[in-house]
Amino acid sequence: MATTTPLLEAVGIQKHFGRVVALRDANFALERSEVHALVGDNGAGKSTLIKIISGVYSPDAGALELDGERVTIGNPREARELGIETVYQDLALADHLDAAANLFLGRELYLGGLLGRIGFLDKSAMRSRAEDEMRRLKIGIQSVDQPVLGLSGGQRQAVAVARAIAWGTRIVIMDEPTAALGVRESGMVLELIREVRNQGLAIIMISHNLPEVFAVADRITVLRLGRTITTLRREETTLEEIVGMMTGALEVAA
Amino acid sequence: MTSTVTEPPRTEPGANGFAPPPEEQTRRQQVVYLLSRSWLFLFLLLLVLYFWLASPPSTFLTGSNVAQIALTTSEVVLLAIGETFVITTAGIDLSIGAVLFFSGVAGGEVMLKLSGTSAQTLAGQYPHAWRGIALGVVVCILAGGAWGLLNGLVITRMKLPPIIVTLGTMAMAFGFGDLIDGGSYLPAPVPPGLTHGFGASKFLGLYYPIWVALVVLVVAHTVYQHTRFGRYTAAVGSNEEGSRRAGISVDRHIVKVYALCGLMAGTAAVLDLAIFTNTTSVAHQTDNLSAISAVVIGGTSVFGGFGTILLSAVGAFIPTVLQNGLVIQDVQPFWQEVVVGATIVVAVYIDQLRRRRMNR
Amino acid sequence: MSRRVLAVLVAAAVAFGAVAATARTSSATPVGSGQVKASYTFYLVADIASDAFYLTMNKGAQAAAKKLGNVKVVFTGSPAQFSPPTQIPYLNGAIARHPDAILIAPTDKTALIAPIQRAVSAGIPVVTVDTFITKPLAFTNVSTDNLAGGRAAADALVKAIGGSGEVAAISVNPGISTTDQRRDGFIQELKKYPAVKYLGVQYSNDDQTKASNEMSALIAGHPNLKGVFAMNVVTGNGVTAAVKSAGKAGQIKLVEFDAGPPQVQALKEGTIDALVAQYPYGIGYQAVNLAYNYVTGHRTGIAKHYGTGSAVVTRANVNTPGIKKYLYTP
Repeated sequence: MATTTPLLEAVGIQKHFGRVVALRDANFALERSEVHALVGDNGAGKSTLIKIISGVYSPDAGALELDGERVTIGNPREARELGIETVYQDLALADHLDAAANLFLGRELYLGGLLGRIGFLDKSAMRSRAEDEMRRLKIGIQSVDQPVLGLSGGQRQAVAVARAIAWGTRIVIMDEPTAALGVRESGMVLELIREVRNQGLAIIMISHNLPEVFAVADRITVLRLGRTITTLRREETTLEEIVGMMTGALEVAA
Repeated sequence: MTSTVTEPPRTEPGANGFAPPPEEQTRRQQVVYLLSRSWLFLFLLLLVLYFWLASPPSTFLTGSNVAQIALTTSEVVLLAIGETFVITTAGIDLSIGAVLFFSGVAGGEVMLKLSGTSAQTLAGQYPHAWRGIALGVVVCILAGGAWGLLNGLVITRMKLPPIIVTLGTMAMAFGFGDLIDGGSYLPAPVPPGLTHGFGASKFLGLYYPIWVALVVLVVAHTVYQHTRFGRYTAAVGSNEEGSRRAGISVDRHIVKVYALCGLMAGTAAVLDLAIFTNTTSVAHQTDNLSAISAVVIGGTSVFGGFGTILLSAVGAFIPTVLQNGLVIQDVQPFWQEVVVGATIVVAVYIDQLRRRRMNR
Repeated sequence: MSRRVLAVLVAAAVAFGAVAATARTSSATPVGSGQVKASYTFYLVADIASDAFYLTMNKGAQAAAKKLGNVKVVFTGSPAQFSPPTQIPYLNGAIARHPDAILIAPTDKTALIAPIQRAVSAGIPVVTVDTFITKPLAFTNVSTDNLAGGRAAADALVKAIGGSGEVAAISVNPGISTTDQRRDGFIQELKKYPAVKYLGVQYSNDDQTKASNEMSALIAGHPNLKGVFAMNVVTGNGVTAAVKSAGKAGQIKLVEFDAGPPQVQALKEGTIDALVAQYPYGIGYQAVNLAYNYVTGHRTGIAKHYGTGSAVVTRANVNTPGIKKYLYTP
């Protein structure tokens, strides 16, 4: 059992939109080098909690602590600066650009000297760095020069993940990573998630696909109606138990 | 509690399902890709070949005829360059012909007013021609840029679709231009320093306007392929929201792109005055169509994302080569319009086939 | 696109081209001065190839060619627009064919100077028909005496409105030599009629809709308007339409330049009161003959300008044979 400070801790988070209460008491603790699944039925508050962690929203009450230190995350850029990256469900990839271009989108490498200052890109440096990243994650893509439009769903997901972790990230948030993928491709993505964890990052994963959650997650947090029900290690629970907690059929001892 | 789901088998590193296919397939794909991109060059070459053989000797492929084709196309090339950037962002600029006309009127009037008194210019005297030409050229280009800037600002601030906004600026630019010159031509032709000395003069064998188009073409191509500006243009067109999330100031970039298109129109206006000595709104009603056709033939998707500058320039040549060749063939003028229109449709169709092939 | 498809296309292009090349009969070669050739080719480049005026001019040109026996006249020009950028590519195509002479109606008096200079420098003699350019590059010009035509129009309009009242004029573009002269002749002649008030001239840009809008505005702004002079066919069409839709047909007297079929029809119906007909058939006919004389070496005695006449066509005289030859029949 870890007694060190969690990498990220959210305590007592509350958030409402007008009269709709999205989170009334959410708690969440993320360890280093773990895959932590966030599950719950629709409307449980998973997306809202994620958006608070990634800086899209600010909580109405409650605290966020990173490495034991209190932080306020005012916007997505601050989240990124703290090492928190999000891979959205739509991947946010520029389809007609290649993998290298996508990896460096918004953070391009420039040539040296005067040319670089007027905006000339160092495409070969970006290409080789992209190849390194792909290799690090053990992803094989025909060429980083192809438009990502032509890649399979799993490969596109891989590019999006590679982009998320290439920048000194510590925490990666993944929103329904296998939602649009077939069985084989989903398997590849789960493998990728494990690889990312093995390299020392922490992953928060939202998923409705409980079998997959059980395939890859180290710990599972269940939300229901804006409240954290419990956090359990995968080995300590079963799929049926989790479903029960999500729907409220099973009462949980505090 | 044990997990009820078995994990997928671990495979060796480097081969976890994302493994690349064998080497030869990649190379063949590369060759197919290259051929499919350059089909337009081949099409143009075929056209030239056909007309060369089908026309009487020393008529089509003579130095002077080719020079004339290039001269008449130089303006459209500039417009097509600007339009390529705009269309790559998934936008469109219908106002370029009108902006060209307005810039020509504004710059032309400045040239005339500064070159001499109206009595002098009406009589063909231009005592201060160089002062007039210099300032007139600057006014042309800036006027174009100003309209482009307006387009960009209205599109991004008021969040209106580009097709509607540029339709509106098109009407306004034609209107203002007509207001300034009373609905017809400039009162006198622009100074011969610009027309004879630039529009009709050659440097190392090529007319000056052709040089301008060439230089702009090379610079634009480099910017498009190798700079942040070009990459952001493609990114915004491919995924606007994604680009925003990646930290790109999308709105600011879109304004820059439309402003660039306007600057191209302003530069084309300088060439227009130099070649045709005067300007009238009638002559520019379908410039936007010529430019957009050139871009579409060249293969820049009107849905944004993918595009190259050089192919747009090639696309600009196809209608002019066609028209010139058909005239030399003594084809009836009415048939020429049919053929040019049909060729555009065929070119776009072939491009669509190629795209579908590529995306499997 | 596979390599095989490519090869087929290249072969097809070469085949078509070769067949077309062999199917060609005459090839135009530059003519030395004074040598008589077996056959001559002239190119007639119109201002706008869909206008009844130029189509009739072409008829006259073709008739002259037929009479001469060894002359071919090729008619070309933009069918869509009246402007230098649309005309010059057609002129370029004609120059590239290196004909024995080019007959051209320039769309602008300065914009066409450089291109026509190129033709002349390439050894192709040029005749300007109808309009002209401000530099004496053409060896002759054949056109209507537009000043006289304008004066005749003024006389006809004043007669139609009964000698007094408000009149206006709608021209095409300042810069077109022909319509400028008609305008000038009109204004000049009106000075003879002190009882007639001249309201001024507007420009239609050779756009029917624009002419129609301008006419409607005139009618709305001047309820006492009695007569209008429209200086070419396109303008006339717009003016007639506007008068009809304002319900003033017959009340506002119209005099139009040019006598194409719709104009003659309108004249007979009573919407137009008089037409000033040029003689495009005659222009074409004469221009071809002059070009033939020039290229066969008979150059002395060719004047710089030949004026062809115009005729005032009214309901009264429209069917007489003397007037009938002036009507445009495309």
